[in-house]
Amino acid sequence: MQVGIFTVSDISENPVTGEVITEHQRLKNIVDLAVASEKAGLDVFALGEHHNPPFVSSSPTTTLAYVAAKTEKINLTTATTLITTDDPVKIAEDFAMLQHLADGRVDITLGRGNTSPVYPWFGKDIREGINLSLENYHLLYRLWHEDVVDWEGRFRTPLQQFTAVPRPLDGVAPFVWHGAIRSAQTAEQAGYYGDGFFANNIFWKPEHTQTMINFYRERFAHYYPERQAMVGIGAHSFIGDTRAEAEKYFRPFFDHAPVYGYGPSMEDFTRETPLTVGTADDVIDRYVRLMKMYGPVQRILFLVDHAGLPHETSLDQIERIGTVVAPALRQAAEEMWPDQHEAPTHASLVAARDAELAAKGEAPYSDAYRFHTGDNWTGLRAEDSQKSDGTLDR
Amino acid sequence: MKIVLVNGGLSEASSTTRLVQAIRAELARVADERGLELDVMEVGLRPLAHDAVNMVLTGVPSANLEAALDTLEAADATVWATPTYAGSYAGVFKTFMDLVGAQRLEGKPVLLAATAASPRHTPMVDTAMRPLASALRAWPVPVGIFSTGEPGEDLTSRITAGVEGLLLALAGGGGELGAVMKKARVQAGKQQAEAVRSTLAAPQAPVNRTKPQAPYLASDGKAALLRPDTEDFTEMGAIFGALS
Repeated sequence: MQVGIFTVSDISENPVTGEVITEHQRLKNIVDLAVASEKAGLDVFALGEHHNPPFVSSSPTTTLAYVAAKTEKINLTTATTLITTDDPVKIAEDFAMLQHLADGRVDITLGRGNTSPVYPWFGKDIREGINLSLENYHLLYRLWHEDVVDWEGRFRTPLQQFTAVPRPLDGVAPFVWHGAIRSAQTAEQAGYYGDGFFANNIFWKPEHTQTMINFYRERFAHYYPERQAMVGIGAHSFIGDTRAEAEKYFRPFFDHAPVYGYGPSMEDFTRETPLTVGTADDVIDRYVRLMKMYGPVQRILFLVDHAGLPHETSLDQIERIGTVVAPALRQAAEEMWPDQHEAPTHASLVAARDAELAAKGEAPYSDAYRFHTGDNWTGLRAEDSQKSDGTLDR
Repeated sequence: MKIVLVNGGLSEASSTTRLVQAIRAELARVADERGLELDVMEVGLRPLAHDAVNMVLTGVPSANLEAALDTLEAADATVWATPTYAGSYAGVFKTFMDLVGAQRLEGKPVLLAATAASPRHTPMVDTAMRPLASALRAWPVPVGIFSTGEPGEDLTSRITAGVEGLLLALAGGGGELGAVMKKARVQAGKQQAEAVRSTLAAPQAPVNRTKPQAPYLASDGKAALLRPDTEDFTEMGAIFGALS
């Protein structure tokens, strides 16, 4: 099981000191969190996409590419990429670029977003949210899986003989997680494509998250009875040396936080949602219980840096999660589900594709450049470069 | 038959609570007289007030609040009782009703009742509560109850008439109205979807049949039911065909 962190990149006032950091500093801190996560032994770093204050990350792939250059092992993903309002062509291109530069350490988590005004800013209608996510992802899927795409849909300019470049690294698209809180259609969508399902989990009641995960498993099994579903969940904690210390430190940040601040008490919220404030053991106990409840889980991503928490505090949380919580959760997963496969990586996806080609008796994948390199202006068609026997015409 | 009374009384021993008790007594009397099986329950808003505001702010219901919303969803008919504040229903009552949403009480008979300190606000039942019932797609019975507790107020006959109205609406198919209304909406959604499907399907050459034929989902996704509705989805195969 992979354990990591995700950030939504909010710039919130530190309610204790009144400090508000600059956008520049926040971005640098975010990169720092990613590097620290790798050092602490975490497996995944995820960055959100927003288009309004108080968030700073509007374009995750630039940041993730920079992180990729500063790290060696950690997997990079998003939390989430807005499949409703982003152009699927641009998503296909941006993430293929990132995938090449990061040598495959990239997957993507899609979401519908949580800020309704974003839709009109990008010329979309929020009432079409579900339909946008269905149609846009279908195009994204085809752009990654087919060299040449003809496309006509309800939401985007048609495409004729379009090739998204660069082609995915080693001919294998980034693995896709479909993020949702309560939309059954998203779970159905994840099942249909054989993709992963990422349940937001935090700020919400575990029994409802469980309903969604079970439904995803059911639909995945409907489409791919012989394959294993991939489940990810969000996590929300604050860890101290003692429970009292953790509560004392975190309370002012809780009380003034975006989303849940000025609402329920920290005690109510920790009881009703997966937020856990206490020792590392408290967090381990709570999340092992949630993992049992949700069935095999392949990925857990913790939120550690929101609500104006000082950067050093977030780094300390990463250290505690990486060195204490993550090993315990991985071990619990190993004991509970010894036969489960890990979440896909680029290497495992390439191996699976190669095995599939071999099983079909087809030629091994070649990454030789397969497009014309001459006249790029008048009707470039990839299939024109094939001779009638299917070999390339060079 | 399950009847749930929403008691919007906010003070201890409130006049609204007394009105709710009077309506309960009349329901019990009529049930006894006619041998009706009535399962009468009450949802008090005072202990839920903080939870309701918290849910408005965070979207997370407390266990008690979710139980109350489930109770209303399971009702065959409801009674709403609220004090009158500033000429209308109490803010806490409205906050709670905002969370009830337009699905839980759809098509279900509702008896409207209010208390007030003065008869000046008598029209409030019809000018404030009745439109609210419409917004929630509930079916208000014609007679509303308004009580100021003034001497000479003929409350008993109003309660009798209101309860009779509620039971008549129930007997007259109120229980099925919700299902009928939902069916009509789903039917309209399907027709819309079919129109989209046929428009998209018609002019396409076979080679270009890549246009996804996404119907409008008959989704109630944004209405406020808390647990995910795992029946509210369209099979992807029906939209994009089998994945190649």
